Amino acid sequence: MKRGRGAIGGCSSSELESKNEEEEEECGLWSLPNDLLLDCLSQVSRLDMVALGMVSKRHRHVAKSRVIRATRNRMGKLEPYLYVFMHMNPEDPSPRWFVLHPLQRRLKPVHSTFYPAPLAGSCFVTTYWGIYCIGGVMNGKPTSEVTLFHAIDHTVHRIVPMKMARSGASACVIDNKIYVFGGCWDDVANSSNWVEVLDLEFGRSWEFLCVSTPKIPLNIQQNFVIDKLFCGVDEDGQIFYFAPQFTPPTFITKGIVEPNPENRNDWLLFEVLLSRGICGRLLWRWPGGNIWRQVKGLEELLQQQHIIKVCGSSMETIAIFWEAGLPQQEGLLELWYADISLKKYQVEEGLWEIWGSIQSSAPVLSYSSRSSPKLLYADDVSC
Amino acid sequence: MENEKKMITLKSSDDVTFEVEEAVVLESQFLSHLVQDCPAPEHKIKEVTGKILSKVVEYCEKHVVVVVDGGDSSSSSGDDLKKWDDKFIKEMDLSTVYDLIAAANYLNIQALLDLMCQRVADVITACKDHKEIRETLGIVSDYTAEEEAEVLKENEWAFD
Repeated sequence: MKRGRGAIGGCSSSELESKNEEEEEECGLWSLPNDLLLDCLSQVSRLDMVALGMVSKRHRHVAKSRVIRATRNRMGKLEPYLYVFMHMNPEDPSPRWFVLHPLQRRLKPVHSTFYPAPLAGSCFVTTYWGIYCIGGVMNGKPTSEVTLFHAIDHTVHRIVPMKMARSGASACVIDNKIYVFGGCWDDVANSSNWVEVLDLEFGRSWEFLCVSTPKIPLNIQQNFVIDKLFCGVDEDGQIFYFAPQFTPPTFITKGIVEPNPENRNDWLLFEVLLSRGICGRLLWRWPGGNIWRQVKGLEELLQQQHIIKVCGSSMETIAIFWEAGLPQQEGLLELWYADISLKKYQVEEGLWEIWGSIQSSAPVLSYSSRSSPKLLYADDVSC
Repeated sequence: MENEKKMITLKSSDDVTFEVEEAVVLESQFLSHLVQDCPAPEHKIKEVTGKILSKVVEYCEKHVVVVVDGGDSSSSSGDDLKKWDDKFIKEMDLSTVYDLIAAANYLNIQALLDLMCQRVADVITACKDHKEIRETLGIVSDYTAEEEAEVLKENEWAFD
């Protein structure tokens, strides 16, 4: 039982009257044992958790603690929050992070510690804690820098840099390890430095992973992970498979070629594989196939708008973004967002269709048409 | 003919006694083990006051699963219980809620514990901002003016 307590109920209001405020607090919420305090606070939404953290330093400490995140995770109380990394205009020295407010449905800039980030060439992976930004071009040269945008407290942390400077690399997470493929410039890539790995639990530095591969691609353009198997496509459309748990680590190809790799962006595994096709169409294919089909049901929207980004939004939905002008206000543009649920139908033996249904859509950000922002990355993080 | 119900007396730390049916006691895992291990007619619950024990008994009496003739189990319907729970927690001040959380944890009554934890969360959720949370929970801020301004700026995204 709680230290310093008599019988439960012994902290009656009459007894409190003679105590000062600090002691009164100890008789309130903080009088509960830690695990019960966590059980109570873990039930509140993330927005309420943020408000709770503003109450006092002690509340802030609890609201941002790892243990409350773990408790909320165990209780199924974490909520998906969509984070977007954008370079707003050419004058800005660095891109910045935005979060989609769950009630206002607007992208809000987060007040995070400034850390210069590449304007192009970075690859990203989303983990339990946040989003890693890996490599990219800084001052005209590839960089080995890696940062973590921490989604709970909106801070940017510099992570141990890679051994190789990389830009245009590709990355994935398997078994709590980040694997980075390619992106080496100056023709220095070989089978011993083409892949680097960072163990997120135990690793203190990146390690090269010597791999056996039929060829060393310049870049892996897109990738997805299914059942701990990495599948990626290179600039020539060659599809590679890689299972890091096998010894020795080997890339294999099965002779399957992606016909138009340059027109299949934003690969997203969502039971089927989704991508953003030419003219901003939403496409799908089976993870093991190479024939893309259009997601149906969104024709009316996509007749007028081109999707500029596809990403995960929650366990049940995906998010798409597009840009549109404001009819009454010349010189202003809006970034629109739609939450889309997908359903799979069998039309006939062996023939399936995927139908998308817009659950909600809204303009989430307004800006000058002269600023031409670049949406570099978007993904949901459970918070 | 109805079987004679076994009655058990619970005595609080401040010697308030409650005579309840055995089925009511069995709602608590702690008391179930106590009754099984020690078949005395009266059990002193040294950790819980009479005020809080009366609430625990009230809750358990409402939630008890009654075994009727023929072996079927019945209790109040789900909707009725939900309405009763809502009324039960709304009539309670936060000080009693905290004490009931501790008591439910000690007596191992999970449903009561969950209900009370949810009550605390609902009170926080009903507050419009951090200032109202302070007021409702009786918390004094330990932020300096500068720290408070920094915290507000940091969380502008959520409340602006």
